[in-house]
Amino acid sequence: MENNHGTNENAKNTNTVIEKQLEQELTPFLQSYVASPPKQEETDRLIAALRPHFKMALQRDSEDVILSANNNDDLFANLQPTTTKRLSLLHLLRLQCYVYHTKFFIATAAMFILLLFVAGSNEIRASWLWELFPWTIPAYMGAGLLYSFRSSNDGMRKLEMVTPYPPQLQFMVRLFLMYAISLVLGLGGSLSAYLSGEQLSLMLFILNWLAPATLVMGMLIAIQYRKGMQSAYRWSGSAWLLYMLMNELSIMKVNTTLHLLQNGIALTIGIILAVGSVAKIIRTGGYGRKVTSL
Amino acid sequence: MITVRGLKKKISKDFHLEIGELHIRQGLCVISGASGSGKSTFLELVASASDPDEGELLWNGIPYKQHLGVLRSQIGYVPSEVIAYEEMTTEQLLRYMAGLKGNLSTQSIESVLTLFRLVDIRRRRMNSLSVGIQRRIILAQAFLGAPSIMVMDEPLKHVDPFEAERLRTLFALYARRNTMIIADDDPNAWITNQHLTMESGKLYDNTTY
Repeated sequence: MENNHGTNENAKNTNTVIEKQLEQELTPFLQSYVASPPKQEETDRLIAALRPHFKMALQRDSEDVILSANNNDDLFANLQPTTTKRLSLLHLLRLQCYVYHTKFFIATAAMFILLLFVAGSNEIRASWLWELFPWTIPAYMGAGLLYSFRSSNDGMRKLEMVTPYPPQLQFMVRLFLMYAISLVLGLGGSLSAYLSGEQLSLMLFILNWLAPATLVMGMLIAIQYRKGMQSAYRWSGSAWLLYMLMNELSIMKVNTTLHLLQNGIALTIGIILAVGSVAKIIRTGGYGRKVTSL
Repeated sequence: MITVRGLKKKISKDFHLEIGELHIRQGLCVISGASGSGKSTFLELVASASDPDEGELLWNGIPYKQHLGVLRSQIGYVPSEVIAYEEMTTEQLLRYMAGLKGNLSTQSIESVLTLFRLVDIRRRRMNSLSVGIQRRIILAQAFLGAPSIMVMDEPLKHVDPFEAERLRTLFALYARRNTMIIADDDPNAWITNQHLTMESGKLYDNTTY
């Protein structure tokens, strides 16, 4: 057994020696087949050399694939505006209607019907109507304008901004759209109340809600132009609440002259602010103090 | 060609963008850099979506502020994150954006719908579409009216890899005749004419091929 074991050991040793010898003999021959890893500079050189070919191949392949799909000589030819309408406020106004979803107009119509119903009802006291309108009309206008900016995402604002229509102009048109709808709502409701036989003076009643609505509108446009939208809402909201507080006091005192004076001042301030801001917006080509942003 | 001269913009107490002199020529320019290096801020300035505190930008030698309205009709812009009006359909959003750009061509809308493979979902509302498809719609609106300057911040974010490859080709083709500036973390994925690298609000490298 011991003898056999010794013979195996010898054979193993002999094999190892032969393997090593063979490896040494073949090394110079195999060396030529071993590839060394490329250096960074070599890779860069190769990419630089191939870049023009990549470009050509890419262009050829892309054109083949895309042009065959379109069967068009120039892939982007149809992107060119065939009719570019002159930019106008009317066009912008029409576009802003896209921003308001059908649901919004349905809700507005529902509110309008409700207002007509309430105003025309014999069971509603006139004094209550005097308080209802100055609260609902400006609130509706502010909420409607806010709804148009419901996508609070900054990205969407920027998309709207990088267009020939300046952001201030877009804001102004949306605000006027809401103001106009509010006027229709208010006038409809007022007429309904008047025709239902309520003992109220139509002109005074209209002035009662038109004054705060115009004040809020004027403040919104003027402050937004100078300080941005958040400040505009903060300040015009505060002014409206203050106005309503004063309104309550003057109504409670049944001081018609004071009430009329208060409404007259609010209406005048609102109109002056709105007209002044619109003039500035138009004069500056629709851009506020900040050239680009809202 | 877009020229940048002494541009400065303060973002926060610790961070401000500062770029001296830079020329971006026609072709595809890719901007890379780590998060917070100032890529998006720079793109916003180039797209005229924000104002610089100092310095100016010129397009073919004309300062941006001189003809901002006209210039903006020549810019296609894609910010990094956009949440569109969710009730709008694909077609409505494109019509809205086309209208704002002063382009009322139906052909133009049809063309982007085809180019970005949106024909089948033209009547689908935004809130019913995946983030990737919404991204394609936002990319599509940038092409309306064939603007000369295209500014895109991570345009292929959320887009599936196959579609992304196709869009890269499309953008490369578009860049042959226009100026395309794209911020992307993987500049090697693009065949670029110019590669800008940004670091801590400054231009670290500018390589032109």
